Amino acid sequence: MAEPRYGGAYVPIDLCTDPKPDVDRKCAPGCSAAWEKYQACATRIEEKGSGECSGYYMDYFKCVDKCTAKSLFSQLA
Amino acid sequence: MIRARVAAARGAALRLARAAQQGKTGPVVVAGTVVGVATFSSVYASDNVLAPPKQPWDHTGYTQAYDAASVRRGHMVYAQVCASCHGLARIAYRNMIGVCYTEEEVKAMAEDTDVIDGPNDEGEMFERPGKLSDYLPSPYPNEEAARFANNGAYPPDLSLIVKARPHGVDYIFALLTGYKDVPAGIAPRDTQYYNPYFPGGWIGMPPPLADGGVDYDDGTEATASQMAKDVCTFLAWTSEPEADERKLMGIKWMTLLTVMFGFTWYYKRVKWSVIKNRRLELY
Repeated sequence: MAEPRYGGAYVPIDLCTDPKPDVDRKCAPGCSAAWEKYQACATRIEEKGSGECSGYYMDYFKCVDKCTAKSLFSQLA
Repeated sequence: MIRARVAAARGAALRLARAAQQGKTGPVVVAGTVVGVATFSSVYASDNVLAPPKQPWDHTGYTQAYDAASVRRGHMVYAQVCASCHGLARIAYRNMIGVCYTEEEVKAMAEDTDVIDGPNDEGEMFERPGKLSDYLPSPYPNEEAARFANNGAYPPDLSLIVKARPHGVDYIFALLTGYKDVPAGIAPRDTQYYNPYFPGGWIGMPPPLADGGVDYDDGTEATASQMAKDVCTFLAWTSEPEADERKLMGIKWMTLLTVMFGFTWYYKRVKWSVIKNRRLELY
């Protein structure tokens, strides 16, 4: 185990749990419409053989972010 | 996107001209506003970018100060993670005294670095341990060396980065926590990483923060989001070290001016009461 750099408490790595993936996961159902549009795009371009879906992808994460931002910071120090 | 905005602006301009011919002024004002917004709202080099969400920071309000504990942890994140590629050339060790460290702590930190000073009496440059008046060392001597070491990408100096990017501290937080899988239809790249918050989507910086990547000395759990929040607070401070004092000064002056306004208003009313009650008789 590494020594603390400036003295004081040391938190072992295995105790850390990042709250963000959990919050994102809880927010995902509220954005299922955007996710379905992205999935539709993915199948569409697979049939077509060209194109990309980053626009739909970003729309989905914009929706998730809006929801995540409401509760993420309250879980951080 | 840009083409659509230009088309919208052109349509609005036509409506404006038609309204002017018919002599209607109300619609003209509305149309003028539409033209203005369509023309002058910011369009970034790439509209293919995800806008970062607004986070409830502790320091962004008019009456809010920096969270000193977070600034201190943020410096630890910078020193242990970011400093290997990013400089912080506009911050001297002395600037951190009383903000997030004591003088002894900062002195010890400065003495760990070697600084080239000189020339001495013989005209030679020499190395000495750092002192409080030294600025933080930069990892690369120049931009070419930085690009050479990072596959052509240039890790910018972080001193003013929060002021230098649209959306400021929200952008830095979203960027640090926002690495995602590549969307459908886009091929992954070898030396770049997909991050939709970065203009263009491809960034040369590998995901910098992993859970437990930093030893915090105050017992806070060093999760990736926590480290991102702390380093953002620290970088907000490096961009605007004067913010706390500026806001305090603002509160003092606004209070004082409000009180003084009351006095001057009363004084004016008193002085003018004689004049305002005078009866003028013209013969």
